[in-house]
This record gives sequence, C-alpha cells and structure tokens, in this order.
Amino acid sequence: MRSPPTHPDDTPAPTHTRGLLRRAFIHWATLRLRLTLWNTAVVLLATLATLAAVLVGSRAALFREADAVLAGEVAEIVLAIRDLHPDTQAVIEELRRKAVGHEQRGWFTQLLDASGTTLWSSEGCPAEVLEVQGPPPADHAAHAIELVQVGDYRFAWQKVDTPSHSPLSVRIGMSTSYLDEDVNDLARLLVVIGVLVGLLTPIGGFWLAVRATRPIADILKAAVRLEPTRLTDRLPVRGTNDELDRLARTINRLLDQIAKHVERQESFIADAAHELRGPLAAIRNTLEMALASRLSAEDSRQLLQEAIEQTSQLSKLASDLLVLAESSEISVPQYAADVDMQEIASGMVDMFSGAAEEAGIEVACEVRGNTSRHLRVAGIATRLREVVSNLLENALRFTPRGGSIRVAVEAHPASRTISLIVEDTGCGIGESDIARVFDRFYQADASRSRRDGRRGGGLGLSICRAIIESHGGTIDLQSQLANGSPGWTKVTVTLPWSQQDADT
Amino acid sequence: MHVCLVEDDPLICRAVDTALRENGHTCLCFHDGQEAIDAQALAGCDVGVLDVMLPGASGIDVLRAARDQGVRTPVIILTALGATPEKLRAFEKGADDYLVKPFDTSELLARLDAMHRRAAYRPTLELVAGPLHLSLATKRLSLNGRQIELTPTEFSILEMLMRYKGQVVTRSMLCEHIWGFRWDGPTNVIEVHITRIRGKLDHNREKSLIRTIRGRGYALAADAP
Repeated sequence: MRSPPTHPDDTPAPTHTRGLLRRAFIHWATLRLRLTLWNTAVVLLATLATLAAVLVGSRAALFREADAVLAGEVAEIVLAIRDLHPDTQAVIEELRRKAVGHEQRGWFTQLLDASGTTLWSSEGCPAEVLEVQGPPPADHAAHAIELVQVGDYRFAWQKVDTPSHSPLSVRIGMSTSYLDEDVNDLARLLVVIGVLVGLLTPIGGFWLAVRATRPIADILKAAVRLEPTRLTDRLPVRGTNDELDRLARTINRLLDQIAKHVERQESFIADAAHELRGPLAAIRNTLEMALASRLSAEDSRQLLQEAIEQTSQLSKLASDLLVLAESSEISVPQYAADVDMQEIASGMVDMFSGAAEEAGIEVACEVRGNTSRHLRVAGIATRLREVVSNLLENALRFTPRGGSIRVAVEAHPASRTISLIVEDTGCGIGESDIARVFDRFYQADASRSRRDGRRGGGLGLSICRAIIESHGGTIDLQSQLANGSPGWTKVTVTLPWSQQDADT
Repeated sequence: MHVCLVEDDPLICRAVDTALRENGHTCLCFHDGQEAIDAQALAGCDVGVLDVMLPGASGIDVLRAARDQGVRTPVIILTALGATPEKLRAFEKGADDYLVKPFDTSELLARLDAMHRRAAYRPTLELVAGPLHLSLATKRLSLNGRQIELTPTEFSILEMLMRYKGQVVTRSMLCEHIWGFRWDGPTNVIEVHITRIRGKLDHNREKSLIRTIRGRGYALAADAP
C-alpha cells in the first residue's frame, strides 16, 4: 500500500495544508478501495461462472460416456442371446458367462421376462435395481434402449425382441458412485482454484488501482504545493496525451490565465498609485505655497483656487480608473439599452465643436452609405459617449490649427456591425508607438501631452478599448507620422448591431 | 430648506453643513446608518443626503427603510463608487439623484435646491433673472425687452444658469444638461459657448452677467440691473 503523499508528521506544513493532505489521502485511498472492490467483484463473478460451467459440463460428459458404453453392451448381449431364445436356460448360461467379465468392471446383469419378473440376476446386482419390476421398455420402438437411474445405479434396459416368443428383456447397469466421485474430485479442484483466484484478485486489483491512480496522486502532490503567491508553478504533464494529461494541461492553462490576470492587476495598481502621485504632489505643493506667510491674502486665495482645480484632475483620474475596473468586470448586456451611434457621434461632435472652432480646427460628422437603420448598438450610452469624447479630445489635442477632424458612422450589413471612425490630420503617431497606445498610462510623447498645461491621464485610449471590448466590439488605430508630408491618425471602432435592430 | 445629512466622514459633514448654513439652510448630521433609521431622519426633513458606505446600516438601507414607511422626501445618494450597477441599485431603491465623490459642494447645493423645488413643482414657462427673460415655450430670450438670438446650445446653457441663478453651475453639470454626458476631461468644451453668450449679453456692461468661478464653473448674477 502506498503511503500518503506526505506524512502529516514529517512536514512542518500549516494545519490547513495537513488537513488537506489527510482529506486528499482518504479520498484517494477510497478511490483505490472502490476500484479494487469493483475489480475483485467482476473477476470473482466471472471465475465462479466459469468454474460452475466446467463442473456441470464435465459431469454431463461423464454420464453421457457411461450411457454410451452401457447401451453398447446391452445391445451386444441382446444380439448374442437372441438366437438362444426361447431356451431360457441357455440364455442364462450365456449371460452368466458374459457376466464374469462384467463383474470385474463392477457391472451387473439382469434378465427379466415379459411381465417384468426377474428370471436371473448376476451376483453384484443391487437390491434397489431388483426391486424395480414392471413391464419392459415400451414396445413402440424396436431395439429401443432405455437408460434408467435408480438411486446410485444406472442401467441400460433393452427387450430381446423376437416375433414368435414372449419377449425377455436385459438390463446391464453400473454404480454411478464412482462417476460422482470423479465429479466431486473435480469440484474440489475447482473450489481450490476459485479460492486462489478470490485471494489473488483483490491483490491484483489493488495493484492496478494504485498504478491507475499514481499519476493522479502525482498531480495532487503538485497541486498541493501550488500557492496563490507563487503562480509560476505548474502541474506535471507526462506527454502521454491521456485524460490525466488533458486535465493537467487544462489546469495549467487556467493557472496561466490567472497568473496573467494577477500580473495585469498588480501592474494596474502600481501604475495607478504612481499616476495618483502626480496630481497629489501638485496639490500639496500648491497648498504649501498658499500657507507661506509672505503671501497676500489675495495670492493665497488664488493658490487655493488652483488647488481645487488640481483636485479635479485627481478626480478625473480616479473616475477613469473606476471606468477601467468596471468595464473589465461588467458584462454590458446586463445594463444595455438600444443606443443610436449616430446620435452619440453627432452629440459629442457638437460638444467639441466650440472648442475646435476656437482652436481653428474643422470638425465634421457624417453618416456613410444608405443606412437609415442599423445604426443602433446594445450598450450603455454614457460609456459610448465617453469613448467618442475621448477620441475627439485626443484628435483635438494633436491636430494643429487649420487641420480637420472627421467623424463617420457606417453600417456594415454583411458583418452586421457598425463602425465609428474618428480621423484627424494631426501630427500622427510613430509606428513603434502604435502598438502601445492602448496600454494604460502610455504617453507617446510626454512633453507634447502637456501642451497648454492640459494633460491627459494617459488612460483615454485604454479606457476606450476597455469599454468597446466590454460591448463586444474592437478598436483599431492607424496612423502616419507627419514627416514632410502631412500626418494623420484614424481610429476605427467596430461594434455589433443591436439585436432588436438586426432582427427587424 | 431643512437638510438631513447621513455621512460618516466628519470633514465632508463639516463642509456640507457650513455651505448649507451659509446659504441659509439648516442641516442635521447623522454619522451612523442605523441611528438615522431609528431617528426616522428622512421623515423630518425637506431633502436627504445619504452616503452609501456607512457604519450601522448602508445609505441604501436608510433609504429603503424610509421608502417602506411611505416617506417620499427627495434623496440624493453620495458615493465613492461610480459604477453603473451601484447607481442603478440606488435608483431602484427610490433615490432621486446621485453624486459621485469627490464632488463640488456648490453642485450638491444646486442639486438639493433643484430637488426641493421639484418636490413643490410649479410648472414654469418663463425664467427671469434680472434683465433676462427666457421663454421656454417659444425658446426666446429677451434682454431688457430686446430680443436676442441664441443657438440651441447657448439656449440650454443659459436656461441652466437661469434656473440656478446666483448659484455655481459646474461645467460637468452643464455638459450633462446639454449633451447627456458628464464630460470632465481637460478640454473646456463650455468656455467658448459662454464667451459667445457673454458677447451677446454684455454690451456696454462693466461686469459680465455670467461670472466665472475659477476651477468650478459659472454663476449668473441674480440681481444685475
């Protein structure tokens, strides 16, 4: 029997781990026990059935053979005495002569007349057989041999059938006790075999069960070592490609995902904490300056106003972080309503139109294609407005005076999607930066982002992506860096049609 | 207006209490949700301000207890959680408004005022503030009897400012009112519209009718000639 994976006494494992091990051991022990019991039961049943069949079959064969010998003998005798008939004395003489040989083999002979009365019987003829009187075997079939079992004796009985005389009949029989003895010997042998099988099966079964569950025990041992703080460990995959390998691989894949998720969470928290320090430091510095004694009351007031303004940056950052956290957790359909993307786009363009005009940038919103319908998505309107406003804010920030921003909404009946495109003639983004623009807190150019003292948190595009993905859509950015020729940036958001709209 | 405030943060309590008293209102503070339920705080006030995360019982519990007793006092929920499900739950339980922390005290005051006025609803078709008359029915503005043309966005901004005349209206309140979305990004999307409205209203005027409250928003002078 295998010992448990680790014995409770020789590990300084914490109590809960020990309890886990013990429970696990009992569980596996019982699984092995169950496997063993099932195996034993099946093998024993099969063995018993086989042995019983062998015993019954052998017995039947023995008796069949004995019957054949007796029948042959009686037929031969009947043939021999047939010509001596009706000289009964001569018949008896003949029988007596033959009986000498028979007696040596433990057989007996008996001669009966037509009424069934014994005329002569050999010395070894048992009383039970003599008592069986009555008429000879039925007449219907000439030369019919009847086989009769009386107690421990068995005999073949045949008429000596001659047309002219009253018929005699002859019985030749034998004791069946030696046949039974043979059968009993066989039975004893079979019982011994049965007992041996019965003893060996559980041992073999347990061995098999141990072999079968050993990989599980290995996996279990590895799983017990796994800890939430050490997510680099994995379960062993033996490369046999069986069910257990698949189980290990599935669990490993899950662990990979958990590890990646935890890593993302950790870096998110680290980034967030890092980003919160900026506005906090600014507020602190401003407040310290406001407290400086040489300042006039009016100047202090000015600084305090500034501090309030700075808190709104902090507040914006906090709400952005919340949106990010929320979008990764909430499945949108739960709160979704039918949202018209054209309305969202034109609303947000309207919101930015004043600021854009001020900055000397032309903003236009258009609907492409024949799409009076199918411009609706299932979603949360404020979240989608947030996406469009973030994209517009970015476009506005990086587009120089005299540039233009175009927002287009387009339905694609083939893929049952709606795309929203925000295109600007701004400075563009370098190829190496494009891959990273959706990363949290990523700023393609830190100095540029501080233009006019305005500062995006670096969360805008990652928020957009989180929101769009939680709506089951995709967001894609293409850009050309301004390099002699004018640059441009094009962001394409693709969202699935709302179900209600798609069905009509 | 008598306000009942259930909030466990003493700093927020003090700030709100001070602001309310400065504006001529009274305020009763509770720091524990269960206390507020036991005292039937909401039944005895004009408007209620409830924080969600409270010791004793949550703000949502306080709200539900009051609504179960048939108390219909308008209630605004304060919370640090901006998540949508949180908001929906608050509205399901009978909240009238919702404000995410950190909030501008003047915005809270404006919202309380609006809720209080709604509770005693008098339909109005004309807003008046000093020399300004705004007709909501015909969408027309007159200044000292002289008609002034406004774009729809300018009209909406002025309507909001006139409804809250004398009070600070934050940029995000204006954004929410006009475009249905609380824009709080770095681009000041309101400013240019305000500048244009000023250009239309402030001919020969020393001080603008619309004051800029730095870092907070705008306020319409309540008593300009």
